[in-house]
Amino acid sequence: MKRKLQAAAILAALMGIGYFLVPSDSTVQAQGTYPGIAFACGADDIGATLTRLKISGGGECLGPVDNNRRYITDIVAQSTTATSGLWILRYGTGTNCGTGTASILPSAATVARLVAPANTIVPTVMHFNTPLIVPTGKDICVLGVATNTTTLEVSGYVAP
Amino acid sequence: MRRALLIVFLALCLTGDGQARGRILGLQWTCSVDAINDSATVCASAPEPGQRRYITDIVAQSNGLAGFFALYHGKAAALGGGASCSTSIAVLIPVGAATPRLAAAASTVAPTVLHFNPAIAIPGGRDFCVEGDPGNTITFQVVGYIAP
Repeated sequence: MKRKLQAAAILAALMGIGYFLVPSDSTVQAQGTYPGIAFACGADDIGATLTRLKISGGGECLGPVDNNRRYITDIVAQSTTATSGLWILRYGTGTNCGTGTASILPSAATVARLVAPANTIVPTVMHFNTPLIVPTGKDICVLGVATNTTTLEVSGYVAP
Repeated sequence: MRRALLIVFLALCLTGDGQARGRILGLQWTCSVDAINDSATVCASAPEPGQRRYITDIVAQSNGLAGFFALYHGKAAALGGGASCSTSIAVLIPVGAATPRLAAAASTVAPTVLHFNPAIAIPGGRDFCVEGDPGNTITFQVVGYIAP
């Protein structure tokens, strides 16, 4: 009995050490504790047209189904020019979130409010301790401004 | 036996993540107000009795030049107080300030982003209000969780 307990303890300890050895490209983020599957979506050179984010490789960043939701933990935004731009993150369904559109950040606004800094200075970087939740089945879209377009990266995890 | 239990305990400590970023320690909540001036404005009402709102993240952006803001708690009309936390209002951030002191970044630079870990608790039974700047309106997003 004692040996079994010791073996179990050693196994548990090894699992604990292994926790720190998970490769950074693991499905779950390197910080390792998010209760879901990591995702990263982005959009480049977005002007004054609400545009759905894409995944790496060009696929659409569609809303998850089966009662899963996207939890946004990190956002990076940068203007594509030497002058700052503005953006707002929204969600919806259909082509470029055209149906059931609502705002995620800032959720009280309907026009671009947050700054994407000029491409001569560091970008806007946000890390949310408490993630922003996108309703199930909803796509994530971004709206910028016409003259100084925005490049945006949104990451987080998918979970119920 | 004791040694085995100790090893198990240490292993559990190794795998523990405390208040890891991205984990929600209660029911997630978020509120936002757009383009407000220096009138305290309700962003979120008090949760159910026995529950409190905890603030973990704030994003603030001026819609013009940099403007000042403050966060308050108080009682709004729904709780038998006046409008916009005006009854028994108290400063939540920055505590002790007699006027809005924190800068919301101008509309040409990256927004003001604040993170709190541990979270800042809004006292139970109190509404949550934000106040902006008289000359430059401010847009806010506040995120956190609700727990006892």
